[in-house]
Amino acid sequence: MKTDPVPIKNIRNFSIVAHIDHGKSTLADRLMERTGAITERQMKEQLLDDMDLERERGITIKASSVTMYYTHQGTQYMLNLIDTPGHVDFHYEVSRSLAACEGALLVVDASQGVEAQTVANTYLAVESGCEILGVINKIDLPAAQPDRVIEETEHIIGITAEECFPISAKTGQGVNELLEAIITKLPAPEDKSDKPTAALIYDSHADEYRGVIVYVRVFEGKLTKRQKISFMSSGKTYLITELGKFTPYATPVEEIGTGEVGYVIANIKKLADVTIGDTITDFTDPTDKPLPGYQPPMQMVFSDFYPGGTTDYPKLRAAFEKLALNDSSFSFTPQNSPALGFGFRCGFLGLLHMEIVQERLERENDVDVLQTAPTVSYEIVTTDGKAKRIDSPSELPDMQKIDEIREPIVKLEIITTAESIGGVMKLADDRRCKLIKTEYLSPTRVMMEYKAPLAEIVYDFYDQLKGISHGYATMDYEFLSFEKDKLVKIDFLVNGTPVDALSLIVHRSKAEQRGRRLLIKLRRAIPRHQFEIPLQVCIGGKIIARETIKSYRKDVTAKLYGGDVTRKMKLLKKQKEGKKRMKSIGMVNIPQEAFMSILDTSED
Amino acid sequence: MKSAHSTVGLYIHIPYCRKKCPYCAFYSVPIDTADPNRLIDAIFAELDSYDITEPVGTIYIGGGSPSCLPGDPLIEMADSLMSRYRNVSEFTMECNPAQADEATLRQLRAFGVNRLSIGAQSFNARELKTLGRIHSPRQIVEAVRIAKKGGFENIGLDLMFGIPGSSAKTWRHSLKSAAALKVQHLSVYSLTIEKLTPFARAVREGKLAVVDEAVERGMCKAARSLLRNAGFAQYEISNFAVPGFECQHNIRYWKNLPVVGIGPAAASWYQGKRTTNVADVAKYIKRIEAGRSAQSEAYIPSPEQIASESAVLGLRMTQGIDMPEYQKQTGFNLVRLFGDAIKKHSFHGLLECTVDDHCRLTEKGLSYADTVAQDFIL
Repeated sequence: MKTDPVPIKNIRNFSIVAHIDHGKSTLADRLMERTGAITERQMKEQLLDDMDLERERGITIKASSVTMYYTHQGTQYMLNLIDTPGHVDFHYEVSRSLAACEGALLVVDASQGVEAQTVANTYLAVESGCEILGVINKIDLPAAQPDRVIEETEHIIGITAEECFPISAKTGQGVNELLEAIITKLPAPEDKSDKPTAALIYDSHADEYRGVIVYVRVFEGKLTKRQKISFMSSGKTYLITELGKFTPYATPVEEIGTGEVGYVIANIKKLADVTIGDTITDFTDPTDKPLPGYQPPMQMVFSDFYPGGTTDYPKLRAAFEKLALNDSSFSFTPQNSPALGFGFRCGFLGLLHMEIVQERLERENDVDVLQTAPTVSYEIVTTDGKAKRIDSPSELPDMQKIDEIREPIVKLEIITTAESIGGVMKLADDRRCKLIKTEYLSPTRVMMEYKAPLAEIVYDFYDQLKGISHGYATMDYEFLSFEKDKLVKIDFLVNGTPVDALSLIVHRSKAEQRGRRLLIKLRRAIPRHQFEIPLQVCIGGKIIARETIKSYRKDVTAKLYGGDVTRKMKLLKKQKEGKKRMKSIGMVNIPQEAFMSILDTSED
Repeated sequence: MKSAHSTVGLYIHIPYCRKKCPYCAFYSVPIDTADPNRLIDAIFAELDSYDITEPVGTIYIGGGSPSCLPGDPLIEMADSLMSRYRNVSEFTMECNPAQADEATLRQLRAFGVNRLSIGAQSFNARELKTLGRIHSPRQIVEAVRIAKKGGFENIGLDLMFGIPGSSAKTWRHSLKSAAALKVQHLSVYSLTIEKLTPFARAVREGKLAVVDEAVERGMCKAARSLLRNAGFAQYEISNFAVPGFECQHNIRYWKNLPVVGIGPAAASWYQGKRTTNVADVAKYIKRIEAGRSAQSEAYIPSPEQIASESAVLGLRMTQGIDMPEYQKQTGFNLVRLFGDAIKKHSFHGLLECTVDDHCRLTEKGLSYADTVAQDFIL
């Protein structure tokens, strides 16, 4: 272990950004191996991904860092690799990792070429002022076309051939050249070691035994063990009990100097006490200006979770609380739906984020959940001119009191094959997306940019896109603004009672068709009762269609004498138990599964 | 539990039939190979094992088909029952229309049997054949005539609707034919496809088509209006009677009052215990002869369970639950125990509490009895 102090000019802080499966984690492993941070024997594959789930999905959720030492031409350098997640939903985490760096390695698969996320990640790196090196990975593959990809990289994201390094993270080919480039081409941190302490919190993590672990990048001054520090936005003060670096295993150090990266343990109890993007300073000699923080993540996708199976509400709550410890971008608010009972409305950065949360819930906490189809948040302007965000259609006030409904609009970038353009355009058109520009990356690949309503792409758009393009297309989106459109609320009445959980907001042009189709689904999903059940669909308060569930009353004219009492009581009890899994609305028992099947738009 | 009704009912199950009907789920076996005398001895032995201290108010001999027994053992049974119990006000015996023997019926009447329940089921020959019944429509008419001639003034018929192949028309014909016979009681219920019966298999295999539910609903409605016009009053979900001829024994069940059940597969509700006898003639006889109990199931319901049972059963009667009586019997105040259920179903017009302190299903509610009953399960 090298512990000699490294001068600031010999420190390099960088991140690796890549599209999923383009080899980010393999490259990280290779760099660690080449710098001697780990031996091959120690090298557990993809060391940076510490959650099973991440490894399974080939993506990284939580950023962490690793400090490596590398000797170049007789001089020792400290290389801090700050890991980033690679998916479209985690822009926020990517950008906060990049804020702690001076450089970024942009990895592109030599056989796949530039993908939509590659473009999005490049923008992020440029925005955060990072110097970018292109890494053309997987050149060992037979299908690799490094020259074509370098050309594409130059053309689309403006990284010149000189800044591109063809490598194979798998075989190690080109990795030494890349390490050299990291040292020679990426800038060193600015030397502000004489200033009061200013460290950026770029991530945090709750450890069962050690409390909250805070990941920092020191920009000014230094952090020392037993230093009394304060968090500038919250004003809270702590005493540092441990400082350390990941090399890649947590290694305690006495101090973390300017330009360096590490972790802080300071007896912080709750994750909520730490704000990502906050600045840590010295309590007695504080800096006068906090470091530039980040935009808090915007939750764009919402879904309701209800306890299912044998799971009850307190168990689900406990699971969410545990989950939230390690995922600050996810929120959960208790809610009581007259239709589905007690559950939680959860906010996510995007769809993948939502899926991951659901899986972690079930896997790590052994709970069963019933989850409604995702919706987006809307902005409404009431007749008195006030604007308000709503996360669920059921929060919509009376239509008469609404002046306009605004929906989230995103910039959508799709990279696809030239022959699938027609299909993609049709899909996009169908989903109310407006084409901004089409750009040929090569004679066979094209990038299309759209303005799209998030609600239209939030559900199965990506699956459809993959289908149309035979798996080639990639997409990424970025929030632009809330915009007004002809949006209406669809309500469903079961036996004359409105079912709030089924309400939805859709575009006027699709409302009637959607309403009628869902009504039929509803009819199929609700079991027959002893009486006739009218089902109605309302658009903007007007009933536009009706269906009827026929009654079923056979059992009431059965005999019941002495020998049957026990049997009858058992039967009634069983029926009652069955009903517990259902929600009673206007005398009608609706199985939770029915809600799900209605909310599932896949068959629409 | 101290009961306000200090009498007890007695039910005797004769598990024999000449031939088993394919829809029937009750315990019965063909009589051909049986030794009825041995069974009857066992029945009396079991009866002796009960220490019945209360007066027996009602007796009901059901089956199976008690009428498939030879006349003598039946008459002897009636005789010895009547000599044991002096306060019997209603003594019913079930009778298959094909087995109404004038001499036997006259004797039974003379020995105290005062009510006859005839398993008519239908007045349509084809439907009777479908049901596997051994009698014809004409035999029903004949059986009623014989019974009346034999001195019976309280005769009930069982009628079944929803029989495969039946229609609104055949059902009306059955109802009218029954009413025309000037009997005092009609049990009207729909065919229930019971698990593990030949009917259940036939339906599963598509060999038997159940009646459309809408048609069946119409049948249920037709029964109510037609029977009302014929002078019958509905006093329970599946029972109609000329006022004054309601079946006292069955009312005991709906009031959750004690009944001692004797014979194979019979159920008892006596001295706070619900028991069911073993559903096997040979085993039953063997156990009784060995001086052991014939019970194969027994449990003591909790006070809440009893309260729940009493409510579910009581609601089946059109007069509903007599609430002060209910409180005396169960120790619970009905409104306090089931306030939510009563409020909910009253709001929807299925249940009502009357000025004379009864809680009952409304006319509309009678059609949703099970929906309501589920909320009276604790």
